[in-house]
Amino acid sequence: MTAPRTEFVSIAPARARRGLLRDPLALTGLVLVVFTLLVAFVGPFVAPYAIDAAAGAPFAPPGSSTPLGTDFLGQDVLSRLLHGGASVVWTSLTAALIGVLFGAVVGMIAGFRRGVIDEVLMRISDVVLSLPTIVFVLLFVSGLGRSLWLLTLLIGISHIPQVARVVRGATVEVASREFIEQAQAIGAGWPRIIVKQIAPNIMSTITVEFGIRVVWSIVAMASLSMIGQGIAPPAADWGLMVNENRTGLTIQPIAVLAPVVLIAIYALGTNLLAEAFSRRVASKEGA
Amino acid sequence: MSAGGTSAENASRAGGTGYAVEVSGLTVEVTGGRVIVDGVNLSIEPGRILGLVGESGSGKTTVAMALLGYLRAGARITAGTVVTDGVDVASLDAEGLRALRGSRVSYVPQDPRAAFNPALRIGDQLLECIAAAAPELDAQTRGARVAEALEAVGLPADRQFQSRFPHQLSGGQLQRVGIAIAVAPRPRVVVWDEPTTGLDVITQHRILQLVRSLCSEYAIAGLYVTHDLAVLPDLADELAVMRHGAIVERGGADLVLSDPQHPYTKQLLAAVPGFRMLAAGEGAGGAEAAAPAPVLEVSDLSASYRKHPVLRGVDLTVAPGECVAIVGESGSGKTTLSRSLIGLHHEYTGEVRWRGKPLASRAARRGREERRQLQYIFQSPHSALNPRATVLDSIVFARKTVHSARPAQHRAAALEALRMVELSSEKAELLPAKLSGGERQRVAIARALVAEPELVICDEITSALDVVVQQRIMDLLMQLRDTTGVSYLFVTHNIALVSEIADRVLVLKSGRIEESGPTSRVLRHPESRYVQDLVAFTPTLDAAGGAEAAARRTPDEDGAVR
Repeated sequence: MTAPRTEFVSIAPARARRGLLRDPLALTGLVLVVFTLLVAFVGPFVAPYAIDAAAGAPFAPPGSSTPLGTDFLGQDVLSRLLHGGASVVWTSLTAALIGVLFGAVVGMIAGFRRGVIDEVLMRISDVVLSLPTIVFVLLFVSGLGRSLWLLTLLIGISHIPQVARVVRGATVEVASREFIEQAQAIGAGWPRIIVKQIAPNIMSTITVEFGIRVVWSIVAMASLSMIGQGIAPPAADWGLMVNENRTGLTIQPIAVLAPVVLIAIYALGTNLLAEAFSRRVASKEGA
Repeated sequence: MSAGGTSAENASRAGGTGYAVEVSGLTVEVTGGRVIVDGVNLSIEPGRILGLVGESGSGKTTVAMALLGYLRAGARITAGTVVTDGVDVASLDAEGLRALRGSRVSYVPQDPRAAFNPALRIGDQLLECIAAAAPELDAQTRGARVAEALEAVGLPADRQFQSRFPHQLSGGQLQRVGIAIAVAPRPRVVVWDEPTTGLDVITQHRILQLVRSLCSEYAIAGLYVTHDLAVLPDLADELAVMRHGAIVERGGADLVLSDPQHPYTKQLLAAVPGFRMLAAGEGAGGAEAAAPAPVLEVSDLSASYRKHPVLRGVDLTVAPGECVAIVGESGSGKTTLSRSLIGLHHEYTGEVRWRGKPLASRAARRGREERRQLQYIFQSPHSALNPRATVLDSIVFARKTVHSARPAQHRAAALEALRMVELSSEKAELLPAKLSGGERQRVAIARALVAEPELVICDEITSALDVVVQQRIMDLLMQLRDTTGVSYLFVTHNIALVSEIADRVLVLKSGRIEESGPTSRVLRHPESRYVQDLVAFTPTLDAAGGAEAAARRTPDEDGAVR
């Protein structure tokens, strides 16, 4: 008997219609992301110092001309914070996008076509997965040289197998449903089935993956900067700042904590937003 | 104390009214204030059965579950009382409810397969339920109770049977075990939630007899929830018809069925398919007279599923404009047959010819014309539509796959198909979730029609629908046959439905054709024992028909262990 199901159905769309802004978690996420974007993209225009200008003694505590103190070279922490967001936001979004786009395509093809294609794609993924992200990136950076876009691309590629696995799982579930069989019975080609029938039904999975991948990209980039293989000084970057100033953690903690807090705000905001989107999408899928 | 004391005690527990169940003014609301049960009154005496009828969404399950003190999340009782075995269930705390359920009120679920733990032996599952309901009993008494319960439902009680796992039993046997679990603690009330839905008619008949005899023998008050009126005449003493959360008609079962008062009850009764036999020569005879070349010819088709044989040497033809029914119980191979024909099942041998030409086994290898001419409609309208695509998009997608035209033409064709299935164009932009089951099935039919097919294979397309909706869908299909000349291959287990629509019928049993021929001949003068049983045990509202014939027979064992 399907009575409970039909009764629930009429409630779910009403919840979805209310919109993202009525969802407190989504609203929090939105505020955090907008704040990060403002800091990252408006920041460079209002920063009091240039990124490499000396503003005082190294590791000086906050003062009247340097509200957040200075870093290990005596540069203004606030100015470097305001300059250092853009690279974090750009690289993380781009890397996540590369990972999710290609990962989703690979995952959907593997999950829908199965058989040999599935085996081949998944074994290739296993090979990439067997290397930790950092090792994978360093492998190529050591040979190809270090550029911001290469780093971003490599981090993006390192996401592909992980996204592919998750998307493949979701695809296998959807592919067993009758509307997919119906499409196959009338002879719809697999690319059309994937685009029109499968992709819209796994959107919530893909959105959540995107949120997760943004955070992993931030972490990967910050870790690379930490070990000196990421963004090169004197460029300002939140991840790099953590690395540069960690020796002075006990004297001038703000120089490390401030970029950490901003990274955390950005990561939290993206994830809350991605989750809220996915919940919205899922409430439509559920029926 | 003698037996007199016990019955006095029972009477006082039941509040002196003599009823095992008393529901008065029950009103249930869901979050948001929508009323799903509206002022329901009903009462059941010990040993009697009340049939609660209604379509999905009528609130019948909510009322039934309220007897167990259970409400689904988001629902709450806003008025009225439910008194089960003398106890107001609303007054009970979690511990009180636990003591009530399974011991004094028990429940037989719809799908026994889903209700059993697949990793536990059935004897252990029974033992566990008795231990929970009557913890005071010692191990030996419990064992004896298990054996007694199994015997009461007509199953062997020996150790060998008890050590089987659920997957080793047939659906009918499993439902008997489910019933044994419900009656073993000797409850006063049993809620039967459509316990025969998934079973074939012969097994269904035996289960219904069992329900009837257990209720009278153990003085159990039964609430039998169903949407199938045809099972009730021999079963229920009283009947309550629910619609939109309220009881619209209530009374003695015979009276309500023979002389319904409320228009909705009349509508429900009229929608139940009965044996409306075509006169000899009508239907199939007409098709034979014209003798056109068959569109579909299947010869010696044998299919297997992972090396396990499912179909053996099936022959079949369908003429233009003909409606051929394939009848069989679950596991007979009827769905494998239809899936083989449409190109979704490839593991078969034998020949399938479409308009004289052999048809490739995979849909992908068939020509576009063949894929257009042959369409398939799935059993469940809930999973057959893409939940993220609007009605119009789903139909346009199907049309684009088999026809080339400009987008505007596809759209026009899709809207025309919606008009043919009598769905208003406002529904075109909706997602399937906003539609009722019947409307979704109409969309699925429109999606098949938009291809302009010549043969539509319908796989149990009405089994998920209520009788009234089922009747409308069938009328629609028959009307479309008259206007478009399409042929149907109708796969079903519903014999009564077959008698109304099919020109010819094919009865499948264990992958072989048991009997085939014009519908009127096969159903009126069945030759094989199996088809005779199938016809005899089909529940019908016509008391002189099935029930009487059924009474002549002694049912034998439920389906064998596979």
